[in-house]
Amino acid sequence: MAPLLRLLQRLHLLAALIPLVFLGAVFVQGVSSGFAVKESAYTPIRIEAELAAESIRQGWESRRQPPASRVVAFWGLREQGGGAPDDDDFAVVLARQLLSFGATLRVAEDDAGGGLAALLGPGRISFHPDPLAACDGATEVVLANARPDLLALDLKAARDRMDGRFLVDCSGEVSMGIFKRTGFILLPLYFLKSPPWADPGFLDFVAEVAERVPEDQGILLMPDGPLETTNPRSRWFLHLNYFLAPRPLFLPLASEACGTAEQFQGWVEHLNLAGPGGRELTRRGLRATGAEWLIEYQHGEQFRPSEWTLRPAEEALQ
Amino acid sequence: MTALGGLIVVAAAWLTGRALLPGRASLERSAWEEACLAFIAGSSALVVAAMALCWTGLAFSGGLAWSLLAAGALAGLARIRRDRAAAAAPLAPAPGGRAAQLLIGALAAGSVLGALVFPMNEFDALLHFGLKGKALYSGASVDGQAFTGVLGDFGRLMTHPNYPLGIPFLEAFAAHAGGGWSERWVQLPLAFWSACIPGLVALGLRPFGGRAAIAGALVAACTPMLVVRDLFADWPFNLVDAGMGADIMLGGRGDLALAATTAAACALLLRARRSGSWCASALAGLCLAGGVMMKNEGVAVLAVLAVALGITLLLPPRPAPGAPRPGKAAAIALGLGIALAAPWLQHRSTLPAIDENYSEHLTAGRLGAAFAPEQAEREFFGHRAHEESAAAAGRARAAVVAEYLGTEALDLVSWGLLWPLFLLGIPWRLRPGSEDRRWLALLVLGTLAAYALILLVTPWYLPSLRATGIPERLMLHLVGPAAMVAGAALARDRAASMSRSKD
Repeated sequence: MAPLLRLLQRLHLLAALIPLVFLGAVFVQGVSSGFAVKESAYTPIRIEAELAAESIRQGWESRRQPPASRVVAFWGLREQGGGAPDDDDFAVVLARQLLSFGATLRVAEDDAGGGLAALLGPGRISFHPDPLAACDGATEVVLANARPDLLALDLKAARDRMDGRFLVDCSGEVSMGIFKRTGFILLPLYFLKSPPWADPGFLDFVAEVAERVPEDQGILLMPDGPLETTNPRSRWFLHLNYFLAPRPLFLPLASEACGTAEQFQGWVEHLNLAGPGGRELTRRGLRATGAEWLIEYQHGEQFRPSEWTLRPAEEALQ
Repeated sequence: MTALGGLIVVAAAWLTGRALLPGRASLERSAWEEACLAFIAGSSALVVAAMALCWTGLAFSGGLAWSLLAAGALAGLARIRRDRAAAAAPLAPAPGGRAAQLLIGALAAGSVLGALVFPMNEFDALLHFGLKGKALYSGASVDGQAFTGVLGDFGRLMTHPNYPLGIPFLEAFAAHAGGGWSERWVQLPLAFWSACIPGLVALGLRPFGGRAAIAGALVAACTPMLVVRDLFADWPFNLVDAGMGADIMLGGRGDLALAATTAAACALLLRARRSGSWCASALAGLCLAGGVMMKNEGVAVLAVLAVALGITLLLPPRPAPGAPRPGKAAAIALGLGIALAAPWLQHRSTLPAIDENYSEHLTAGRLGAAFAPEQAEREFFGHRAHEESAAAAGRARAAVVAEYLGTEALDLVSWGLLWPLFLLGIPWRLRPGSEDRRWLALLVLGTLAAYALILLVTPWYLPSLRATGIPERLMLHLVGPAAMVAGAALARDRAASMSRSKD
């Protein structure tokens, strides 16, 4: 037994590499993100190509746009470096799927040798070395990867050359404010593992409430309208409660809402069954809690500041 | 708030613990072991005292926080002065060679700094512990609306209202000392748990020889779970987004804190059972109470430890006449642990138990249901939860729990070879000299069994728990005693092979 124990103990020393490597990576990440938790510091995770293509197709379907009528400017078939893409690359699979739906692809690549056309197979394809030229007459542009030369393009100029106004971003590098700057409607096809409390809109709302509501005054939270999701990500009230503490925050049936995931699902169900309580329920809540403020909000996975309103209880009681 | 507040609390905790340690003559130790033990004992003393005072109706005001910090620090300074004046016994050299000490030092320093790279950034740390810390810091009474108001038609928001207040108290101490709440710096007193555990293992194993002490310390220090869990689970995101996800174990959660207090209590009991030092036994009791204050599972550790020590006392061989009575050490530690934890346990019984009321769930019906195939269709969110749900669908919960524990014990990425080393170190036969390994092994196995029982009846959906790091976060509590069993076994086998070669 002794030799085996000693051997295992020596082998166990190798495990120290894992925390050492991880801690090294933590420090690198800390330096690169300014030692702060920011949504922008999280690496976007691209969803699978087939799923991305299906999302695009469903978008067309919901807008009653037949795939055959869609002209897609396709950016980023090649990864950074410009080498020949592989058969199972994300961009290749996505492009092939879009072609199979019947869409026209204007691929922003030079394909003098015809290798890319052969890789993508049959379909309505044209190749354009200039990415802006690929946008001529396009109904949407798909940004398939985060190639720096593509991210540096003038998106306003691209938008001006198009017939449509959708930008499908699979890179996670296009920021949400793009509509104001370029007129593009952004369709993000990636997800971030960033926590809810790093959401910039949420943090802005926290700052606004913290500025208006003194620390010793209570706030009643009232969901407005039907509750359409039981995703734990929709429990924004928990995060508000932490960031606004010590301000007391109240919620209808809070013990269920704060419980296990299943209790939370029950809470959603309860509130939906009870239906809209309207002003009377709000009044009852304000009287029961003594809260001086009211936050009415739309329950959802995304935090949309426009769906959260803060007002004094007096105003709500009138 | 700056780092100063956190540093003041760390220094005060260390000095408080320093005041409480037995003399060096009765508890031989190196400077490294002394620093680790003093910090854990001092942290336990601060939170136990804060809870006892708040239980009497006092609010955790700045004045109260400063009074406790100052009292502990002054007592520690007085003790240091007295030791110097009395020419107390010198510190023993640290066990192990330069390379081993460097490795342990690098991991310890890395874990302390790693805990502070980012502000609190994890659900449990923020919402279960941080919120309570903020409430305490604002002067909320522990039996006031902030802690008890969640029930009713319009309740005040709080997750897990009956979670213990050890971590929140330490955070609130730091906020009071620093003059404000900072998500980064209130973590400073919580940054040393990982760093202390190897020193505590070495302290406990010192009577087994320097080789056993350093072997056990290395087994603990090299266990990746003291820093990060399942690094390759979401490869490469756990590395490229390192420290920003829930995979990092450092920071404001209670698991490492309970692991450190458990390791301290075990180390002190190992020493007290041999030396008969009542002071070491009492300090073990304080650390056990500290563990109860850090996580609810601290109660399970205390209860299982009582059973493990009791079984060991009943089994042969009996202690020789005139030798220290191990039963006395155990009785003092367990009695004082329960007494010091009593204010919290009494207060806890008055708090709303909205979800994890295990005594209510532990019924024959529920236990029986755990052996029948579980309902397959549940709503779940997240990639990992989906995978776990699919793997558990249609199977008995008991089988799923057993699989989770088994696969986790063999997960080299989280644990290295800690659990195989522990299993090989268990004394399966009742040989003289194996009593200490026996009660430590019983503590580890018994606590795992208790945790398995909890998982059988938990109202949480098991695959969701698995996706968030259960059971490995529970197993983490037992790193100290598991490493002690492995270290003591290595010493025993070495001694046996040396005596064979002499023959």
